[in-house]
Amino acid sequence: MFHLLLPLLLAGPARADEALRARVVDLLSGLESSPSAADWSALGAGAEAELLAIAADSSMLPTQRANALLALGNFPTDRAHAMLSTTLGDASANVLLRRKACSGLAQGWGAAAVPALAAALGDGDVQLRQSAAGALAKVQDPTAVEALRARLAVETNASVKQVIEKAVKP
Amino acid sequence: MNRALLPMLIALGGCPENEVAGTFTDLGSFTTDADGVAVVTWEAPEGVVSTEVFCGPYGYDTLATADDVKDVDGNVVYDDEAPSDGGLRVGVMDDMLPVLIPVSPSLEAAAGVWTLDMFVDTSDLPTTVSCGMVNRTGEVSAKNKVDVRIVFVGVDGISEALNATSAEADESLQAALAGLGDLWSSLGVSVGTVSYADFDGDVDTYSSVSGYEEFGNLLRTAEDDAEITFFLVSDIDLGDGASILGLSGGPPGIAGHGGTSKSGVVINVANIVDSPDQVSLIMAHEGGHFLGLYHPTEKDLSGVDPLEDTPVCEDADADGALTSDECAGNGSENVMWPTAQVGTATSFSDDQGWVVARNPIASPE
Repeated sequence: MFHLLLPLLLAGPARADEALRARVVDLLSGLESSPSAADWSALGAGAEAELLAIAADSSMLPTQRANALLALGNFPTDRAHAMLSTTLGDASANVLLRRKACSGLAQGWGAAAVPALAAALGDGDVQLRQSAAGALAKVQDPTAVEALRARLAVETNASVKQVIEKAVKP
Repeated sequence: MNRALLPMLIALGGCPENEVAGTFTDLGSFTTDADGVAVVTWEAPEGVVSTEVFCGPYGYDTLATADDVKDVDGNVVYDDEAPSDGGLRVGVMDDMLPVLIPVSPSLEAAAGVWTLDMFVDTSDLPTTVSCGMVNRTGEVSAKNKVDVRIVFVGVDGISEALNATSAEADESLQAALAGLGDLWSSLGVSVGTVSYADFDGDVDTYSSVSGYEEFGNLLRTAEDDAEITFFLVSDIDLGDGASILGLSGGPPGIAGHGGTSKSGVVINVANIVDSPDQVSLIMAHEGGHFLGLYHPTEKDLSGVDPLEDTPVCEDADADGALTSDECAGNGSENVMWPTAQVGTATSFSDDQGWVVARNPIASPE
């Protein structure tokens, strides 16, 4: 009897996983809109594993992987933190992924993300510095403001300075 | 085309048919009443095929929409109390409000005086807006072309040669443009003249568009030519950190009149090397918005397009949101579906083709 049920038992979760993956990819592929925290919450805890898998999958499109990294900020677990920190710290990674890792860290870990984001303020890539500054601006913590002010004193790129000045403006 | 050059081109007999830059008319200023409503009237000429009125700029902290729109006989053809009824759509817009007629076969353009009761949502009342209009007259054809201008905004690091100098040789870009032509063919539209330019503004800021103000400011750099200006950027983020794939001025965009926050389209080309087909779809979709097309059904169920031959997807699982799988066979095959369904979203409807054929910047092939 069990051997007759086995395919069904295996197929059930597999179909559920496929459906969840399709739903996650759909959310990551919006043309003009992005998913909200409520959208991710509605998918349940299983979404985190899908997001981690997509973020690590080089066969997925860069924007899908990048948005998966950002969405991990809605699932503040140790493994999500490790994924985001590793990506941000990997100078060889696609800068779009590193930029979204900034946003994900700020969203999910707040003040605890400040050291990693502050370090990214010193990166050679202008757009990464912009993202790090923008992410720090969203962290409601004095250490974030301190890091931004310190960078402002040495920053030479006008667009990055603009982001920082807007963030630290009283 | 720079309007300053227009008289010279006309004198030389060089102004092409359906060149709309010459049909722009400055309507002057309109002042709201104490409730924020400005009565804007504009006159469409005999033989009009399409007419577009637009008012602004009023900035990014203010929104405006239409209380109603009346046709040349005084009939209300758009009422914001029932925005999904009838054949016209008007958005709630920051900075600049465009109204394009037609956006469906059920409301055609007609000669005469149209009226827009424009509501400006600001506490600083009364306020004044500047308005203009663009009209197209002439023939309508079943086969049309739309000229395209590609502006590279600091994206040359994404592929080896993504800039104006090397664009013709960039395999990914050329594949994307070929795919755009394939997708638009079901609209009865071909890609006309393609021109290339490098953005000469602040590349560090605008290569990654962040927020609606940057988006609008980038579109302001579009010129007056009768074409769609596609700004290619490395990322678009509307403030929540997420990457979106594209964004059109409007919809609808302001056709053939540059210098406004609704004068073009921004395309995220971060995926162009991995998937030029996706960039084709983004361009076809956002270009469709610019030309007056809407999503067949909004994924959050907030509305449907004004066309009768595009499917309306129902919320089968009653969860308050639509997915592409849920709408398979019922909307997600349409290029105007709001999620990038590469290889699946490949078609337009006949009514969508009807609308685009009449847009001010479309011209008979």
